[in-house]
Amino acid sequence: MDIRIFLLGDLGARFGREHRLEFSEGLTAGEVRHRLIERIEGSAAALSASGVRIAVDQTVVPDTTCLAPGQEVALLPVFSGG
Amino acid sequence: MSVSAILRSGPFRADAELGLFLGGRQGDGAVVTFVGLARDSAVDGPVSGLYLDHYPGFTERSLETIAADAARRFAISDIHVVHRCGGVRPGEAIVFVAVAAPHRRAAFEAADYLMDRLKTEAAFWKREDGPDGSRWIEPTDNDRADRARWSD
Repeated sequence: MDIRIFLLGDLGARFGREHRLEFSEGLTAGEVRHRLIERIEGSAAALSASGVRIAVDQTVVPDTTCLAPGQEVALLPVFSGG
Repeated sequence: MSVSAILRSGPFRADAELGLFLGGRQGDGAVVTFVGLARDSAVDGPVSGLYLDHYPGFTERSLETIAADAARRFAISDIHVVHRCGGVRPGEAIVFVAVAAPHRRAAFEAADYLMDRLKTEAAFWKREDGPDGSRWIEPTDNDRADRARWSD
């Protein structure tokens, strides 16, 4: 099953809100970030910015977290607050 | 104790929220409310509207966590938070916070705390739209300093 990826805030506006990646054994949250950067031209600086956190199934995790098939990943820029 | 934090995608009436919150309340001596409105200008000029992007599920949980933390921290009875997402026009309410408590001090403090955390930690991504285009914004230094007042 594919990994479904959401980009929030300005990342979604610039690079598209929803993406899919094919799952492969040993895939980590950080690797998802790198694959997106390879796929989307000009996204490296924005997607690798230190303030951009990754959530897996709606929980913020470190980049080293391993993924399972069918999980949902989101790249979260710094919250603006309400 | 009742603690609720609700996300709304369309306009809501703050006065109606307050009416419901006040109704039938007999054991509390104090209700403090705060209503945040979208302004028609910012430091960079006129603002025609705001857009609050959110992550369904995740954003609701961030609101609920902040409300629950306030309920634990202060001697209050009930909390009700309503927060907008999506497009918000100038003059519309973005956020409504109500706190009921037996005594006023705790209600004032809890409302203040709720707003300081909502302004920095609620999971929104806010865009200001104006005649010169749009820009995504982050909390100001003032917002962060206000939040830091409550650090344990």
